[in-house]
Amino acid sequence: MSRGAGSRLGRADYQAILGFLADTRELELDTPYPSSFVGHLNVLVAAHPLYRENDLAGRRSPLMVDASGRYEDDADELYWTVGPCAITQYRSATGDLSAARLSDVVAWRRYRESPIYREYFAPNGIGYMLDLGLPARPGWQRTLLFCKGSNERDFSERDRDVLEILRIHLRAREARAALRRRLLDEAVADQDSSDADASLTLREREIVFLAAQGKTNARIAAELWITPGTVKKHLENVYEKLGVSSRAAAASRVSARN
Amino acid sequence: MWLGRADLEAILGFIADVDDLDAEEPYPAEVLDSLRTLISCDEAGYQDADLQARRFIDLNPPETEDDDALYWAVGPCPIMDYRTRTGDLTAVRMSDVIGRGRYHELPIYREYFQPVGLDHVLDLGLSAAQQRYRSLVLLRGHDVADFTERDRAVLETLRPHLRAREALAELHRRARDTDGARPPADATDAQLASLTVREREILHLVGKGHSNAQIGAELWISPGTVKKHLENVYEKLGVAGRAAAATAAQARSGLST
Repeated sequence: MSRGAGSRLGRADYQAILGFLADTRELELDTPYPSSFVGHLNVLVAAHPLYRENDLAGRRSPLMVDASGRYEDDADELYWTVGPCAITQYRSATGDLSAARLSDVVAWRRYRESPIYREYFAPNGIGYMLDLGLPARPGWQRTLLFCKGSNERDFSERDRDVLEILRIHLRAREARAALRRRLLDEAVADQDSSDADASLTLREREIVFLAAQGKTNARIAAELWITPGTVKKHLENVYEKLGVSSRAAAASRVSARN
Repeated sequence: MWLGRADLEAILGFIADVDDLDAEEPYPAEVLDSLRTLISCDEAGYQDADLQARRFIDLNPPETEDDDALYWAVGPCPIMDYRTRTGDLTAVRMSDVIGRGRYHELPIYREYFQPVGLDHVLDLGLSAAQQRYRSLVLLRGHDVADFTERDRAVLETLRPHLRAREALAELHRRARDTDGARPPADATDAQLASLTVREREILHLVGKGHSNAQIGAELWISPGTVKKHLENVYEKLGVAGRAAAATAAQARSGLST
Protein backbone atom coordinates (compact mmCIF):
# COMPACT_ATOMS: atom_id res chain seq x y z
CA MET A 1 0.00 0.00 0.00
CA SER A 2 1.47 3.29 -1.00
CA ARG A 3 1.37 6.23 1.30
CA GLY A 4 -0.89 8.10 -1.08
CA ALA A 5 -3.43 5.31 -1.32
CA GLY A 6 -4.11 5.41 2.37
CA SER A 7 -3.98 9.11 2.97
CA ARG A 8 -7.66 9.82 2.41
CA LEU A 9 -8.92 7.02 4.59
CA GLY A 10 -9.95 7.26 8.21
CA ARG A 11 -10.29 4.69 10.96
CA ALA A 12 -13.85 3.81 9.99
CA ASP A 13 -12.70 2.97 6.46
CA TYR A 14 -9.95 0.65 7.69
CA GLN A 15 -12.37 -1.02 10.06
CA ALA A 16 -14.87 -1.50 7.25
CA ILE A 17 -12.22 -3.15 5.09
CA LEU A 18 -11.09 -5.41 7.94
CA GLY A 19 -14.72 -6.32 8.61
CA PHE A 20 -15.31 -7.12 4.96
CA LEU A 21 -12.21 -9.32 4.79
CA ALA A 22 -13.22 -11.19 7.94
CA ASP A 23 -16.80 -11.68 6.68
CA THR A 24 -15.75 -13.02 3.29
CA ARG A 25 -12.76 -15.10 4.39
CA GLU A 26 -14.63 -18.39 4.48
CA LEU A 27 -16.99 -17.63 1.61
CA GLU A 28 -17.11 -20.22 -1.22
CA LEU A 29 -13.39 -20.60 -1.59
CA ASP A 30 -13.39 -22.64 -4.81
CA THR A 31 -14.29 -19.59 -6.90
CA PRO A 32 -12.58 -16.24 -6.38
CA TYR A 33 -15.68 -14.16 -7.10
CA PRO A 34 -18.90 -16.02 -6.27
CA SER A 35 -22.08 -13.94 -6.15
CA SER A 36 -22.07 -13.99 -2.35
CA PHE A 37 -18.66 -12.30 -2.36
CA VAL A 38 -19.44 -9.83 -5.14
CA GLY A 39 -22.74 -8.87 -3.52
CA HIS A 40 -21.06 -8.21 -0.19
CA LEU A 41 -18.73 -5.63 -1.75
CA ASN A 42 -21.45 -3.01 -1.39
CA VAL A 43 -20.72 -2.72 2.33
CA LEU A 44 -17.45 -1.05 1.27
CA VAL A 45 -18.69 1.12 -1.57
CA ALA A 46 -22.39 1.91 -1.65
CA ALA A 47 -23.28 1.00 -5.24
CA HIS A 48 -24.19 -1.99 -7.39
CA PRO A 49 -21.11 -4.26 -7.58
CA LEU A 50 -20.34 -6.80 -10.26
CA TYR A 51 -17.53 -8.95 -11.57
CA ARG A 52 -17.04 -8.91 -15.30
CA GLU A 53 -14.87 -10.64 -17.91
CA ASN A 54 -14.41 -9.03 -21.32
CA ASP A 55 -13.26 -10.91 -24.41
CA LEU A 56 -11.71 -8.01 -26.32
CA ALA A 57 -11.12 -9.81 -29.61
CA GLY A 58 -14.57 -11.43 -29.61
CA ARG A 59 -16.11 -8.13 -28.43
CA ARG A 60 -18.31 -9.78 -25.82
CA SER A 61 -18.56 -10.17 -22.06
CA PRO A 62 -19.18 -13.87 -21.51
CA LEU A 63 -19.15 -13.73 -17.73
CA MET A 64 -20.89 -11.32 -15.37
CA VAL A 65 -21.57 -11.98 -11.69
CA ASP A 66 -23.54 -9.84 -9.26
CA ALA A 67 -25.37 -10.42 -5.97
CA SER A 68 -28.08 -12.39 -7.73
CA GLY A 69 -25.65 -14.79 -9.44
CA ARG A 70 -24.01 -15.36 -12.80
CA TYR A 71 -25.91 -13.80 -15.62
CA GLU A 72 -25.72 -12.87 -19.25
CA ASP A 73 -26.25 -9.28 -20.24
CA ASP A 74 -29.18 -9.18 -22.68
CA ALA A 75 -27.76 -5.97 -24.06
CA ASP A 76 -24.20 -7.29 -24.38
CA GLU A 77 -24.26 -6.92 -28.16
CA LEU A 78 -25.45 -3.34 -27.84
CA TYR A 79 -22.70 -2.61 -25.29
CA TRP A 80 -20.03 -3.74 -27.73
CA THR A 81 -21.69 -2.04 -30.70
CA VAL A 82 -21.99 1.44 -29.17
CA GLY A 83 -19.11 0.86 -26.73
CA PRO A 84 -17.10 -0.42 -25.06
CA CYS A 85 -17.15 2.10 -22.23
CA ALA A 86 -14.33 4.61 -21.69
CA ILE A 87 -12.73 2.62 -18.84
CA THR A 88 -12.47 -0.52 -20.97
CA GLN A 89 -10.96 1.58 -23.75
CA TYR A 90 -8.58 3.26 -21.33
CA ARG A 91 -7.36 -0.07 -19.94
CA SER A 92 -6.88 -1.55 -23.42
CA ALA A 93 -4.87 1.48 -24.48
CA THR A 94 -2.69 1.86 -21.38
CA GLY A 95 -2.60 -1.53 -19.64
CA ASP A 96 -3.22 0.43 -16.43
CA LEU A 97 -5.20 -1.67 -13.92
CA SER A 98 -5.49 0.84 -11.09
CA ALA A 99 -8.93 1.67 -9.71
CA ALA A 100 -10.55 4.29 -11.92
CA ARG A 101 -13.84 6.14 -12.21
CA LEU A 102 -15.47 6.93 -15.53
CA SER A 103 -14.87 10.57 -14.65
CA ASP A 104 -11.12 9.86 -14.34
CA VAL A 105 -10.83 8.75 -17.95
CA VAL A 106 -13.42 10.80 -19.85
CA ALA A 107 -14.81 14.32 -19.54
CA TRP A 108 -18.34 14.33 -18.13
CA ARG A 109 -19.84 16.29 -21.02
CA ARG A 110 -18.29 14.04 -23.63
CA TYR A 111 -19.48 10.98 -21.78
CA ARG A 112 -23.07 12.22 -21.57
CA GLU A 113 -23.10 12.84 -25.32
CA SER A 114 -21.57 9.49 -26.24
CA PRO A 115 -23.69 6.69 -27.74
CA ILE A 116 -22.62 4.26 -24.98
CA TYR A 117 -24.19 6.54 -22.38
CA ARG A 118 -27.28 7.49 -24.31
CA GLU A 119 -28.12 4.05 -25.64
CA TYR A 120 -26.72 1.69 -23.01
CA PHE A 121 -26.06 3.31 -19.63
CA ALA A 122 -28.85 5.89 -19.45
CA PRO A 123 -31.65 3.42 -20.32
CA ASN A 124 -30.25 1.11 -17.60
CA GLY A 125 -30.19 3.97 -15.12
CA ILE A 126 -26.39 3.98 -14.86
CA GLY A 127 -24.58 7.28 -14.48
CA TYR A 128 -21.35 6.66 -12.63
CA MET A 129 -18.86 3.81 -12.64
CA LEU A 130 -15.87 2.82 -10.54
CA ASP A 131 -13.71 -0.03 -11.74
CA LEU A 132 -10.81 -2.08 -10.38
CA GLY A 133 -8.77 -3.78 -13.10
CA LEU A 134 -7.63 -7.35 -12.39
CA PRO A 135 -4.80 -9.07 -14.24
CA ALA A 136 -6.01 -11.20 -17.15
CA ARG A 137 -4.62 -13.29 -19.98
CA PRO A 138 -3.82 -11.48 -23.26
CA GLY A 139 -6.87 -10.25 -25.14
CA TRP A 140 -9.06 -10.33 -22.04
CA GLN A 141 -10.05 -8.01 -19.25
CA ARG A 142 -11.30 -8.84 -15.79
CA THR A 143 -12.69 -6.20 -13.48
CA LEU A 144 -14.66 -5.59 -10.33
CA LEU A 145 -17.11 -2.87 -11.20
CA PHE A 146 -19.45 -0.58 -9.27
CA CYS A 147 -22.39 1.25 -10.87
CA LYS A 148 -24.51 4.12 -9.60
CA GLY A 149 -27.49 5.99 -10.95
CA SER A 150 -27.03 9.38 -12.62
CA ASN A 151 -29.23 10.97 -9.95
CA GLU A 152 -26.61 10.06 -7.29
CA ARG A 153 -23.16 11.51 -6.63
CA ASP A 154 -20.01 10.33 -8.38
CA PHE A 155 -17.67 7.93 -6.56
CA SER A 156 -15.17 9.63 -4.27
CA GLU A 157 -11.40 9.39 -3.99
CA ARG A 158 -12.08 7.47 -0.80
CA ASP A 159 -14.05 4.83 -2.74
CA ARG A 160 -11.18 4.48 -5.16
CA ASP A 161 -8.61 4.10 -2.39
CA VAL A 162 -10.69 1.48 -0.58
CA LEU A 163 -10.96 -0.58 -3.74
CA GLU A 164 -7.23 -0.34 -4.43
CA ILE A 165 -6.44 -1.61 -0.92
CA LEU A 166 -8.47 -4.74 -1.64
CA ARG A 167 -6.20 -5.75 -4.52
CA ILE A 168 -3.64 -7.73 -2.51
CA HIS A 169 -6.39 -9.62 -0.71
CA LEU A 170 -8.19 -10.38 -3.96
CA ARG A 171 -4.96 -11.81 -5.30
CA ALA A 172 -4.60 -14.09 -2.31
CA ARG A 173 -8.22 -15.17 -2.77
CA GLU A 174 -7.60 -15.96 -6.43
CA ALA A 175 -4.42 -17.89 -5.58
CA ARG A 176 -6.27 -19.89 -2.96
CA ALA A 177 -9.13 -20.71 -5.33
CA ALA A 178 -6.57 -21.83 -7.94
CA LEU A 179 -4.95 -24.19 -5.41
CA ARG A 180 -8.30 -25.64 -4.45
CA ARG A 181 -9.24 -26.17 -8.07
CA ARG A 182 -5.93 -27.92 -8.69
CA LEU A 183 -6.67 -30.19 -5.79
CA LEU A 184 -10.14 -30.98 -7.14
CA ASP A 185 -8.67 -31.74 -10.56
CA GLU A 186 -6.12 -34.01 -8.89
CA ALA A 187 -8.91 -35.93 -7.21
CA VAL A 188 -10.76 -36.36 -10.48
CA ALA A 189 -7.58 -37.32 -12.34
CA ASP A 190 -6.64 -39.79 -9.62
CA GLN A 191 -9.89 -41.63 -10.18
CA ASP A 192 -9.43 -42.17 -13.89
CA SER A 193 -5.68 -42.25 -14.15
CA SER A 194 -4.30 -45.38 -15.74
CA ASP A 195 -1.76 -47.72 -14.19
CA ALA A 196 0.83 -46.44 -16.63
CA ASP A 197 0.30 -42.88 -15.49
CA ALA A 198 0.76 -43.84 -11.85
CA SER A 199 3.94 -45.70 -12.69
CA LEU A 200 5.90 -42.53 -13.44
CA THR A 201 8.70 -41.90 -10.98
CA LEU A 202 8.87 -38.60 -9.14
CA ARG A 203 11.77 -37.52 -11.36
CA GLU A 204 9.84 -38.40 -14.51
CA ARG A 205 6.81 -36.42 -13.37
CA GLU A 206 9.04 -33.49 -12.57
CA ILE A 207 10.60 -33.57 -16.05
CA VAL A 208 7.29 -33.88 -17.89
CA PHE A 209 5.96 -31.02 -15.81
CA LEU A 210 8.88 -28.80 -16.87
CA ALA A 211 8.51 -29.96 -20.50
CA ALA A 212 4.83 -29.00 -20.31
CA GLN A 213 5.94 -25.45 -19.50
CA GLY A 214 7.67 -25.41 -22.89
CA LYS A 215 11.17 -25.83 -21.54
CA THR A 216 13.86 -27.46 -23.70
CA ASN A 217 15.85 -30.49 -22.54
CA ALA A 218 18.84 -28.21 -22.00
CA ARG A 219 16.84 -25.87 -19.73
CA ILE A 220 15.31 -28.73 -17.80
CA ALA A 221 18.76 -30.25 -17.37
CA ALA A 222 20.17 -26.96 -16.07
CA GLU A 223 17.29 -26.63 -13.65
CA LEU A 224 17.62 -30.14 -12.26
CA TRP A 225 21.41 -30.32 -12.36
CA ILE A 226 21.49 -33.31 -14.70
CA THR A 227 22.69 -33.65 -18.30
CA PRO A 228 20.41 -33.08 -21.32
CA GLY A 229 21.09 -36.69 -22.29
CA THR A 230 19.62 -37.87 -18.99
CA VAL A 231 16.57 -35.69 -19.53
CA LYS A 232 16.11 -37.26 -22.95
CA LYS A 233 16.42 -40.76 -21.52
CA HIS A 234 13.87 -39.99 -18.79
CA LEU A 235 11.45 -38.63 -21.40
CA GLU A 236 11.81 -41.76 -23.54
CA ASN A 237 10.83 -43.83 -20.53
CA VAL A 238 7.86 -41.54 -19.96
CA TYR A 239 6.67 -41.92 -23.58
CA GLU A 240 6.80 -45.67 -23.25
CA LYS A 241 4.96 -45.73 -19.94
CA LEU A 242 2.24 -43.37 -21.15
CA GLY A 243 2.06 -44.94 -24.60
CA VAL A 244 2.63 -41.66 -26.36
CA SER A 245 5.19 -40.69 -28.95
CA SER A 246 6.12 -37.05 -28.27
CA ARG A 247 6.80 -34.54 -25.52
CA ALA A 248 3.71 -32.58 -26.53
CA ALA A 249 1.50 -35.61 -26.01
CA ALA A 250 3.17 -36.45 -22.71
CA ALA A 251 2.90 -32.84 -21.60
CA SER A 252 -0.79 -32.63 -22.38
CA ARG A 253 -1.37 -35.77 -20.33
CA VAL A 254 0.25 -34.12 -17.36
CA SER A 255 -1.05 -30.59 -17.79
CA ALA A 256 -4.57 -31.96 -18.02
CA ARG A 257 -4.06 -33.01 -14.43
CA ASN A 258 -2.35 -29.91 -13.29
CA MET B 1 7.79 -28.42 -10.07
CA TRP B 2 5.20 -31.10 -9.57
CA LEU B 3 3.10 -30.51 -6.50
CA GLY B 4 1.08 -33.57 -5.62
CA ARG B 5 -2.19 -33.85 -3.87
CA ALA B 6 -0.63 -34.13 -0.41
CA ASP B 7 1.37 -30.94 -1.05
CA LEU B 8 -1.69 -28.99 -2.17
CA GLU B 9 -3.62 -30.17 0.86
CA ALA B 10 -0.74 -29.19 3.14
CA ILE B 11 -0.49 -25.72 1.58
CA LEU B 12 -4.25 -25.12 1.89
CA GLY B 13 -4.05 -26.36 5.46
CA PHE B 14 -1.30 -23.87 6.20
CA ILE B 15 -3.30 -21.02 4.65
CA ALA B 16 -6.39 -21.93 6.68
CA ASP B 17 -4.35 -22.25 9.89
CA VAL B 18 -2.66 -18.87 9.63
CA ASP B 19 -5.94 -17.27 8.58
CA ASP B 20 -7.22 -17.89 12.07
CA LEU B 21 -4.17 -16.44 13.79
CA ASP B 22 -3.85 -13.01 15.23
CA ALA B 23 -3.29 -10.73 12.27
CA GLU B 24 -1.74 -7.73 14.03
CA GLU B 25 1.70 -9.04 13.17
CA PRO B 26 2.48 -10.85 9.90
CA TYR B 27 4.99 -13.41 11.18
CA PRO B 28 4.37 -14.35 14.82
CA ALA B 29 5.82 -17.58 16.24
CA GLU B 30 2.65 -19.53 15.37
CA VAL B 31 3.04 -18.76 11.66
CA LEU B 32 6.67 -19.86 11.78
CA ASP B 33 5.64 -23.04 13.60
CA SER B 34 3.07 -23.83 10.91
CA LEU B 35 5.74 -23.19 8.31
CA ARG B 36 8.02 -25.73 9.99
CA THR B 37 5.23 -28.29 9.75
CA LEU B 38 4.64 -27.54 6.08
CA ILE B 39 8.33 -27.76 5.17
CA SER B 40 10.19 -29.82 7.69
CA CYS B 41 13.23 -27.99 9.07
CA ASP B 42 15.03 -27.24 12.32
CA GLU B 43 14.46 -23.52 12.32
CA ALA B 44 12.18 -21.08 10.54
CA GLY B 45 12.56 -17.36 10.91
CA TYR B 46 11.63 -13.95 9.58
CA GLN B 47 14.37 -11.40 9.02
CA ASP B 48 14.40 -7.71 8.18
CA ALA B 49 17.85 -6.19 7.74
CA ASP B 50 19.25 -2.74 7.09
CA LEU B 51 21.91 -3.41 4.47
CA GLN B 52 23.62 -0.05 4.83
CA ALA B 53 23.88 -0.12 8.61
CA ARG B 54 24.64 -3.86 8.43
CA ARG B 55 22.28 -4.88 11.19
CA PHE B 56 18.97 -6.69 11.68
CA ILE B 57 16.03 -4.44 12.44
CA ASP B 58 13.65 -7.28 13.09
CA LEU B 59 14.32 -10.96 13.66
CA ASN B 60 11.84 -13.59 14.74
CA PRO B 61 12.88 -15.66 16.62
CA PRO B 62 15.17 -12.96 18.02
CA GLU B 63 18.92 -13.36 18.19
CA THR B 64 21.44 -12.18 20.76
CA GLU B 65 23.39 -9.05 19.97
CA ASP B 66 26.60 -11.07 19.83
CA ASP B 67 25.17 -13.42 17.21
CA ASP B 68 23.90 -10.46 15.25
CA ALA B 69 27.36 -8.84 15.32
CA LEU B 70 28.96 -12.14 14.33
CA TYR B 71 26.64 -12.55 11.35
CA TRP B 72 27.62 -9.20 9.87
CA ALA B 73 31.30 -9.67 10.75
CA VAL B 74 31.59 -12.96 8.81
CA GLY B 75 28.65 -12.47 6.44
CA PRO B 76 26.33 -11.60 4.88
CA CYS B 77 25.38 -15.09 3.75
CA PRO B 78 25.60 -15.99 0.04
CA ILE B 79 21.81 -15.86 -0.41
CA MET B 80 21.61 -12.29 0.85
CA ASP B 81 24.55 -11.52 -1.37
CA TYR B 82 22.84 -13.12 -4.34
CA ARG B 83 19.58 -11.21 -3.82
CA THR B 84 21.31 -7.87 -3.37
CA ARG B 85 23.25 -8.48 -6.57
CA THR B 86 20.37 -9.71 -8.74
CA GLY B 87 17.21 -8.36 -7.15
CA ASP B 88 15.79 -11.88 -7.50
CA LEU B 89 13.29 -12.65 -4.73
CA THR B 90 12.29 -16.18 -5.74
CA ALA B 91 12.66 -19.00 -3.22
CA VAL B 92 16.24 -20.32 -3.38
CA ARG B 93 18.37 -22.80 -1.48
CA MET B 94 21.90 -22.11 -0.41
CA SER B 95 22.94 -24.85 -2.85
CA ASP B 96 21.26 -22.91 -5.70
CA VAL B 97 23.53 -19.90 -5.26
CA ILE B 98 26.86 -21.42 -4.19
CA GLY B 99 28.69 -24.73 -4.55
CA ARG B 100 28.53 -26.85 -1.45
CA GLY B 101 32.30 -27.13 -1.15
CA ARG B 102 32.83 -23.42 -1.34
CA TYR B 103 30.01 -22.67 1.06
CA HIS B 104 31.61 -24.93 3.65
CA GLU B 105 34.87 -23.03 3.39
CA LEU B 106 33.24 -19.65 4.01
CA PRO B 107 33.55 -17.97 7.42
CA ILE B 108 29.75 -17.50 7.50
CA TYR B 109 29.36 -21.27 7.49
CA ARG B 110 32.34 -22.18 9.69
CA GLU B 111 31.81 -19.54 12.32
CA TYR B 112 28.09 -18.82 12.21
CA PHE B 113 26.05 -21.79 10.92
CA GLN B 114 28.26 -24.79 11.65
CA PRO B 115 28.85 -24.16 15.38
CA VAL B 116 25.08 -24.35 16.00
CA GLY B 117 24.69 -27.41 13.78
CA LEU B 118 22.95 -25.67 10.87
CA ASP B 119 23.80 -26.18 7.24
CA HIS B 120 21.08 -26.20 4.54
CA VAL B 121 19.13 -23.01 3.90
CA LEU B 122 15.94 -22.33 1.96
CA ASP B 123 14.94 -18.68 1.70
CA LEU B 124 11.96 -16.75 0.32
CA GLY B 125 12.76 -13.14 -0.57
CA LEU B 126 10.12 -10.58 0.45
CA SER B 127 9.75 -7.19 -1.17
CA ALA B 128 11.56 -4.49 0.79
CA ALA B 129 12.40 -0.81 0.69
CA GLN B 130 15.69 0.43 -0.77
CA GLN B 131 18.70 -0.76 1.22
CA ARG B 132 16.51 -3.13 3.18
CA TYR B 133 16.34 -6.89 2.99
CA ARG B 134 13.46 -9.04 4.13
CA SER B 135 13.04 -12.79 3.87
CA LEU B 136 11.63 -15.94 5.42
CA VAL B 137 14.46 -18.34 6.08
CA LEU B 138 14.31 -22.09 6.79
CA LEU B 139 17.32 -23.99 8.13
CA ARG B 140 18.29 -27.64 8.41
CA GLY B 141 21.18 -29.40 10.14
CA HIS B 142 24.03 -31.04 8.19
CA ASP B 143 22.95 -34.53 9.26
CA VAL B 144 19.80 -34.34 7.12
CA ALA B 145 19.22 -33.91 3.38
CA ASP B 146 19.07 -30.55 1.61
CA PHE B 147 15.71 -28.95 0.82
CA THR B 148 14.09 -30.38 -2.32
CA GLU B 149 12.54 -28.77 -5.40
CA ARG B 150 9.22 -29.59 -3.84
CA ASP B 151 10.13 -27.59 -0.72
CA ARG B 152 11.13 -24.67 -2.86
CA ALA B 153 7.93 -24.82 -4.92
CA VAL B 154 5.78 -25.05 -1.79
CA LEU B 155 7.46 -22.00 -0.25
CA GLU B 156 7.05 -19.99 -3.45
CA THR B 157 3.34 -20.88 -3.58
CA LEU B 158 2.86 -19.15 -0.24
CA ARG B 159 3.93 -15.74 -1.54
CA PRO B 160 0.54 -14.16 -2.34
CA HIS B 161 -0.83 -15.36 0.99
CA LEU B 162 2.09 -13.94 2.93
CA ARG B 163 1.70 -10.64 1.10
CA ALA B 164 -1.98 -10.56 2.02
CA ARG B 165 -1.00 -11.26 5.64
CA GLU B 166 1.44 -8.38 5.61
CA ALA B 167 -1.20 -6.10 4.11
CA LEU B 168 -3.70 -7.22 6.74
CA ALA B 169 -1.29 -6.42 9.56
CA GLU B 170 -0.75 -3.00 8.00
CA LEU B 171 -4.52 -2.43 7.90
CA HIS B 172 -4.82 -3.34 11.57
CA ARG B 173 -2.03 -0.93 12.38
CA ARG B 174 -3.73 1.86 10.45
CA ALA B 175 -7.14 1.14 11.96
CA ARG B 176 -5.48 1.56 15.37
CA ASP B 177 -3.26 4.56 14.60
CA THR B 178 -5.44 6.64 12.31
CA ASP B 179 -7.69 9.03 14.15
CA GLY B 180 -9.38 10.47 11.12
CA ALA B 181 -7.01 13.40 11.00
CA ARG B 182 -5.11 13.96 7.80
CA PRO B 183 -1.52 12.68 7.96
CA PRO B 184 1.27 15.28 7.97
CA ALA B 185 1.99 16.75 4.58
CA ASP B 186 5.20 16.16 2.71
CA ALA B 187 5.16 19.60 1.14
CA THR B 188 4.43 22.79 3.05
CA ASP B 189 1.21 24.68 2.50
CA ALA B 190 3.13 27.70 1.30
CA GLN B 191 4.91 25.67 -1.35
CA LEU B 192 1.69 24.14 -2.57
CA ALA B 193 -0.17 27.43 -2.51
CA SER B 194 2.38 28.87 -4.91
CA LEU B 195 1.36 26.43 -7.64
CA THR B 196 -0.91 27.69 -10.40
CA VAL B 197 -4.14 25.90 -11.20
CA ARG B 198 -2.58 24.48 -14.37
CA GLU B 199 0.45 23.24 -12.43
CA ARG B 200 -1.79 21.53 -9.87
CA GLU B 201 -3.79 19.92 -12.61
CA ILE B 202 -0.64 18.54 -14.25
CA LEU B 203 0.80 17.38 -10.95
CA HIS B 204 -2.42 15.53 -10.22
CA LEU B 205 -2.14 13.68 -13.53
CA VAL B 206 1.52 12.90 -12.85
CA GLY B 207 0.40 11.36 -9.57
CA LYS B 208 -1.87 9.07 -11.52
CA GLY B 209 1.14 7.77 -13.43
CA HIS B 210 0.44 9.55 -16.73
CA SER B 211 3.31 10.36 -19.09
CA ASN B 212 3.90 13.87 -20.40
CA ALA B 213 2.47 12.78 -23.75
CA GLN B 214 -0.70 11.47 -22.10
CA ILE B 215 -1.08 14.62 -20.02
CA GLY B 216 -0.52 16.75 -23.10
CA ALA B 217 -3.24 14.88 -24.96
CA GLU B 218 -5.62 15.14 -22.04
CA LEU B 219 -5.18 18.87 -21.51
CA TRP B 220 -4.83 19.78 -25.19
CA ILE B 221 -1.33 21.17 -24.80
CA SER B 222 2.00 19.96 -26.18
CA PRO B 223 4.21 17.54 -24.22
CA GLY B 224 6.88 20.26 -24.28
CA THR B 225 4.54 22.62 -22.44
CA VAL B 226 3.81 19.90 -19.88
CA LYS B 227 7.54 19.49 -19.35
CA LYS B 228 8.02 23.23 -18.85
CA HIS B 229 5.15 23.36 -16.32
CA LEU B 230 6.67 20.45 -14.43
CA GLU B 231 10.08 22.10 -14.26
CA ASN B 232 8.39 25.07 -12.60
CA VAL B 233 6.63 22.70 -10.19
CA TYR B 234 9.91 21.00 -9.21
CA GLU B 235 11.47 24.35 -8.48
CA LYS B 236 8.54 25.59 -6.40
CA LEU B 237 8.37 22.38 -4.37
CA GLY B 238 12.14 22.01 -4.14
CA VAL B 239 12.15 18.46 -5.49
CA ALA B 240 14.15 16.76 -8.21
CA GLY B 241 11.74 14.62 -10.21
CA ARG B 242 8.14 13.82 -11.11
CA ALA B 243 7.86 10.98 -8.63
CA ALA B 244 9.11 13.16 -5.79
CA ALA B 245 6.77 15.99 -6.80
CA ALA B 246 3.76 13.68 -6.92
CA THR B 247 4.61 12.13 -3.55
CA ALA B 248 5.26 15.48 -1.92
CA ALA B 249 1.87 16.70 -2.99
CA GLN B 250 -0.17 13.52 -2.68
CA ALA B 251 -1.49 13.90 0.83
CA ARG B 252 -2.89 17.35 0.18
CA SER B 253 -6.54 17.64 -0.60
CA GLY B 254 -5.97 20.62 -2.87
CA LEU B 255 -4.47 18.32 -5.46
CA SER B 256 -7.14 15.68 -5.40
CA THR B 257 -10.12 15.99 -7.65
